[in-house]
Amino acid sequence: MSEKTISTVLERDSLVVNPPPAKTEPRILRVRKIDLEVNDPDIDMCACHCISYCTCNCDRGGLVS
Amino acid sequence: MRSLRYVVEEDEIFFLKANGRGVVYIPLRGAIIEVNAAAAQALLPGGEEDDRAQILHQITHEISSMAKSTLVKDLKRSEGFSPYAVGLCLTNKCNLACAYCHADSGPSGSTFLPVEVAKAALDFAYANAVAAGKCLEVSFPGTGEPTEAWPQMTAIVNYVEGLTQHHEPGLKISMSTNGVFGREKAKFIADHFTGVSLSMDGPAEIQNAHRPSAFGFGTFDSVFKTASYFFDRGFLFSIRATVSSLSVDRMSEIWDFFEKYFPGVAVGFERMNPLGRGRACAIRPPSIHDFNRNFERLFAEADRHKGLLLNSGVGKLNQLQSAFCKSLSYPCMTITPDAKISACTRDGAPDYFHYGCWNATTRSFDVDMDKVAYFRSITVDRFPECADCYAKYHCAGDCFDLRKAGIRRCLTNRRMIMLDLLHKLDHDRSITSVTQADPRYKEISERLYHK
Repeated sequence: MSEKTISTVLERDSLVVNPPPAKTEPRILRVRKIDLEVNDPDIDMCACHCISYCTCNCDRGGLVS
Repeated sequence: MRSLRYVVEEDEIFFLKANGRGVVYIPLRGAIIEVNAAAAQALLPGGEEDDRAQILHQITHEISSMAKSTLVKDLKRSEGFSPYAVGLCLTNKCNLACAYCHADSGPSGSTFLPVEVAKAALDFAYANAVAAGKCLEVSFPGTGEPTEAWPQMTAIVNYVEGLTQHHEPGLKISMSTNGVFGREKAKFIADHFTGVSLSMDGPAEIQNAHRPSAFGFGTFDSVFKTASYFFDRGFLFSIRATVSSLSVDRMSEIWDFFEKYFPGVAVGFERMNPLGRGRACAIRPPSIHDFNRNFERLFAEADRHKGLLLNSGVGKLNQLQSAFCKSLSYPCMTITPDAKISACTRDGAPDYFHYGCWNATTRSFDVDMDKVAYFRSITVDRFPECADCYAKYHCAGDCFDLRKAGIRRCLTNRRMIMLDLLHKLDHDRSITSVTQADPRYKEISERLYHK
């Protein structure tokens, strides 16, 4: 849009026309690190055998990591 | 709540729009990254390629210093069969007649696991534990109530304690129980077990409607006494609450109830499944929508609770796995009351999961290694629909038995994992898991390892 056209629009509709916004660069806002527990592979799966009991004290549903 | 997957230099990078925010999750690095709107736009289909390359470059640079984890599948897959975790299903008898019982158990059950078979399984597993330098893990899962086989249970516990008394890596004993028994049994359990999962569905009117005794009486008073005894003893237990259409709109109240009387105890909420007696009982499963809506409310209220909020499909934020269940994978072995080896004792397709049995002639276990190999192959990589899902290393494709029954929990799993990711992002704290940096870790660890 030329300057002349913008001027015309302003006169006609009394609109405030902002210049085209500067392009926002893609960027990272925030990073979090999860302390993964994979040191002992033998305890990080469920031995509950059964969905009805999945909140047993094994490590999948259980009490502590 | 779908996600997009990018693979950059062997890193799986998942992008999802979470409550209007652009979130990038790299599970194997344990990284959660929030990006701005321009980056989110670039990562969506049709996004500008230059911008996408730019943000992916920033992400890979950011995570390059974070250690990459090795998945369980890479560590556990091995040849042979040498389990050091044993599940002993002692009986199919139960003193309760829960309305929705998936196993259709009750007082008429009459099969009991012979103690000699249990001892043989323990001897076998103990030898494997010694060879591997591992803790021997013993559990008493369903399908009946384990304490209904009391003489067998006490004999087995005493036996395995003697067996492992000089085993440095130790012994863990656990059980899933309805908690409807007297002080004497509760004391034995607190004295000898590492921890238990207590099935308790909420305040009296819910517990009694869901889980009446085999004679029709309410069970709330009994299980509440057991829970109180465990709590007062500092004995480690978690509560497992089944949610039906009757209780779904009271989930928040139920969690508050448990927190009031047993502060800090982990509570797992599981949606009732229409299996076994649950197929035709008056109490119905809640709709997925209602369950998710109320579960989501619990996540919003989590900061006022000391204990963890759990669900078997959602898993834990700080634990990654490629297979849902240890019983489908090395190194666990589960023996049914009729002395078969099973990978799942839950439902009406038991034969499918059997892969061995006790051989009374040779006095050893016969194992079908082809089936073992098959069960070990059931990992999340087996399910193409899971490939691009950010939740894949938490639900690990979810319970294979539920899949067989046509029950899928993807909506719940994805939604709750997303909420936990956002909670971690905003508060550096997970709702489903504790880490050493969390103030709760020390307290819970001390309770777990106090024995």
